[in-house]
Amino acid sequence: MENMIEVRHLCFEYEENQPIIQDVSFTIQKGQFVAILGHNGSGKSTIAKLLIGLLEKKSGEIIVAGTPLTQETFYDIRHDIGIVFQNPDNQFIGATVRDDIAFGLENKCVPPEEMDAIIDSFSKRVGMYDFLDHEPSKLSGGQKQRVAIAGILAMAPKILILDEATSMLDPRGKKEINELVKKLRQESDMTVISITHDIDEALQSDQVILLNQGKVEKMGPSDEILRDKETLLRLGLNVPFAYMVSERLKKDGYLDQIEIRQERLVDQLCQFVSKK
Amino acid sequence: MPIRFEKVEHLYSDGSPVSFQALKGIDLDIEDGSMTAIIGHTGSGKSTLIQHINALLLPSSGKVTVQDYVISPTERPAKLKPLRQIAGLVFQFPEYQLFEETIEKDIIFGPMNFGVPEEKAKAAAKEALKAVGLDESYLERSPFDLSGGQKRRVAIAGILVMQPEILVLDEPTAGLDPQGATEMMELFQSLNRQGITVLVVTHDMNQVLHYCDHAVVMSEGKIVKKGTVAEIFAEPAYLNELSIQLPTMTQFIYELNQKGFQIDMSINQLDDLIAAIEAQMTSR
Repeated sequence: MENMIEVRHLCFEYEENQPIIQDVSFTIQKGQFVAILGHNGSGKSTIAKLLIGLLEKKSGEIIVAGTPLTQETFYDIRHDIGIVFQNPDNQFIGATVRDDIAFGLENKCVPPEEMDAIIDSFSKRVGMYDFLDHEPSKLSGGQKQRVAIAGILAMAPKILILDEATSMLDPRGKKEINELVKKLRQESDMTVISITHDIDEALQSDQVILLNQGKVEKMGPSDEILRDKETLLRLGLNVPFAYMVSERLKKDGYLDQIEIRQERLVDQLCQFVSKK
Repeated sequence: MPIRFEKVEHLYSDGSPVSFQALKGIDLDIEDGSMTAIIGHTGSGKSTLIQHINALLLPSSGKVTVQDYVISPTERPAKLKPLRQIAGLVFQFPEYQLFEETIEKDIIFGPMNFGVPEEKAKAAAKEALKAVGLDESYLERSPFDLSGGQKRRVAIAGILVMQPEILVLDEPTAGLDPQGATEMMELFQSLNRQGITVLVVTHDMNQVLHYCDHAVVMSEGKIVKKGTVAEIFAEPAYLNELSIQLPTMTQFIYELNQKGFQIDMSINQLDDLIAAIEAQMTSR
């Protein structure tokens, strides 16, 4: 397996002796879907900004696709990384949705004759094709997030960072975007980092990095981390719904083991329904 | 009946090529003291609807009645100023509206604008801050040094200080972590229990199930369903047509029922759910 991102002993502070990120180390492999999970203020978004060189680390190392992130390399590295922030208002450039998606492509020197096809394709995939001539500022929060996501995906990044990027979407919109990302991962082997405090979103990832007060509290396969009830609750996060139900049923002697995924729990329970 | 919509239509940019009809024939009554969820997709007209309640938007046709005030297409907004005190509207990400040097100054800005004497406004600010769960020590601090969740509480205190009888919230928990969201919803529930009528726009069906008593479902500018929360979630097939998800617990019950269980779909407490499941399982 190829390492896409290596973070070693990363530290960051805005003011001296007030560390925001403290000795964080992790490795993300190519094509993996990793959730960085933590409550507000745990340092999740700061890590994202450090990964794209928007903030400068105090110490430690960030290596993206084998290249250490430095003042000299960060423009090149940024071509490989796309990030969608929580509030798309901070990210709009263009006067129309079309211009906005085009902006990133222009910077990447995509030939103009190829641009229209790319813009049409990605605006359709996020369901915003009918809005290409609208002004981004006049769209609803969820529509803005869709445009921001289209603008980034159109640039075909090797690494996609979603920083609470679907927080303003309704559940259907979230599902659509998640499915689009899933499809792109299959097509292109894109590495995805999802920064979230939504346990249901984390359930879709391969790996979870649990962050608390700027430190890695725990990391590992999502199936393992997301059943650590004590830690999740201590960090102000939720426990998967299936966990809460199966925990009670197990205690009462109706189940042998705890499930964190709802489909599996339904299947389990249906074997024992009494046919009256 | 504190809030009544009658045949309300709203057109944005009327007469221009991008003219868009956001509300179509809205008839709606909101009962006094209720806690009502407004649900529907992005772009279904939810935010447009609630901005009529304190006359930030005027209807293109039809009328909205809020207590003694009538909001109609021809009304002069200045005449409706007292309505801004009666109905407090909290936008998405209200923390972006904080602007003063101290939290106290930020909170008293509203009442001072309405001619409340400074001393009285300051006393009210203390109360409002207490209501959102922050103590007096915050009064002299800068609102910009707070965490996201705290900022939002301060912004909401700035609305509560006006002593509104109606509180309208547009996705008040967007961007908050689970603990912050729970605290926020519990705050609104307690305000509702003190007699304030609460309307909340939300995408989170779990919040609708656990905190609200009524719900209004919007789609493409129309109200397609309204009723008690139990009534709304009793028709999963219909909601599915509208691509509205069920609350986690209701969805779980629905899936179990599809496979042989017979559990009451209106259950909204974990204890009740566990008891219902166990009653229908064969002892092993």
